[in-house]
Amino acid sequence: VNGPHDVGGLHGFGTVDAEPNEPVFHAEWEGRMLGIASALELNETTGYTGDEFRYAIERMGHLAYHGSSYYQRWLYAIERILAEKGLLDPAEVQARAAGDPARPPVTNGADDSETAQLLVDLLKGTYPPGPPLDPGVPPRFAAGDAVRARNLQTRQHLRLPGYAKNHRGTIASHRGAFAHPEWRARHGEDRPVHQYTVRFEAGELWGEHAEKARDAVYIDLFEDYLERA
Amino acid sequence: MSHDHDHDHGHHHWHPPSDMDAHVRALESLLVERGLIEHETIDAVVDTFENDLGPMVGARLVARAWTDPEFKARFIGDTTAVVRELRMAGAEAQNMVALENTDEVHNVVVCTLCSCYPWALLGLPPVWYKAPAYRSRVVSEPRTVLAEFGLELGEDVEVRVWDSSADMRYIVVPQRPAGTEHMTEEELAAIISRDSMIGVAQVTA
Repeated sequence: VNGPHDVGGLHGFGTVDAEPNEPVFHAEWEGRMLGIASALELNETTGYTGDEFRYAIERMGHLAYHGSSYYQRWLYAIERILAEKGLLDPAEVQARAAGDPARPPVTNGADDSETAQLLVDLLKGTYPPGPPLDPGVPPRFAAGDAVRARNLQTRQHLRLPGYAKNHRGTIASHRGAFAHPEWRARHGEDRPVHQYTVRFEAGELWGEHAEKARDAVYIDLFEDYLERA
Repeated sequence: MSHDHDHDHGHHHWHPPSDMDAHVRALESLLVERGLIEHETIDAVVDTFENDLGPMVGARLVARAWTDPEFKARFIGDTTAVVRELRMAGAEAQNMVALENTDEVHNVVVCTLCSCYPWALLGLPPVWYKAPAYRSRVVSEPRTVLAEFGLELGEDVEVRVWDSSADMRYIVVPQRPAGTEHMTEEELAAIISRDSMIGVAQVTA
């Protein structure tokens, strides 16, 4: 979807505003929001994929997206996913919030819950991830191949930035196979597709306005986003 | 805004709640009541990101790469295998690539489509990394953005911007500054900043 998230190369967002000694969370609710989203992702009933989550945010509309902070967008995505699964009506949340609900009780976290401990282990990487996915077909491209990013104007979930569409690049490396984002966003299932890092030269992407033509942007792209050039 | 718009509850007119704190408390309590999540899990996630995961994790790997050539070769050659072996392939860091900065090549990482970032190695990303100003500009004018961070690069250096918009996550191995030959791995880890591992800064001794 050509949504508000696809900002690469746009003008008008101002200068980068880096905060010295930034805290991990800027308010208590940000940490709670991250925790809620992580816990829901792990739960069998409420589980969602990262692609469903991103696709929800990409469809929130330009004004809503740019009028919200990072964790406000998370709230939007989580409420939308829960509503679409029929698990929670956002109006219920609104009604309860109006009554100024009590703070959650302080707990001992992972010390008192196997689910919490499992999530901590997953976050830290105590359990190494499973074996790589097998797409069942050999990779179509190899390092050094000249390719072009296809002009995909889909309304589905797409991980091809707009600024690269229709531009020529070179395969820098084959990265293996990963679950295709559109399939995961639509069906919540893994469909393995080969993925490559593609080198696009700055002069190709930005023309005469490139700072230096031979600088480059490297983008990770799925095989079906590419064609031979 | 027209009268019609006020009554349109469609997605394109979503506004963040005015009291985020009360709203998220309401959401948490409803989900706990329905048995879908536990307060304990949320507390554990907050605690993990506030205390255990952060740039110090990645800094230890970079410091080891600086002091152990064999480790450095493996870390750069097959980063994923190394972080899995070390049981560090956690949140958003299951498939990793380490990028070495040299006199000839300067690497810098972004995610233009969202905010992909190796949480298990660098912690949660800073606000500027997630904001449209950085995401929009660093791909098209990296030298200007880096200069604003205080990093001026010569014309002889090639700038490579990595738009990590899929499954691979990136960590930059910055150049080891001169004058640090006497420092231990632990002392080196303490001077390796988050920004140097994103690629918007160099390490200074």
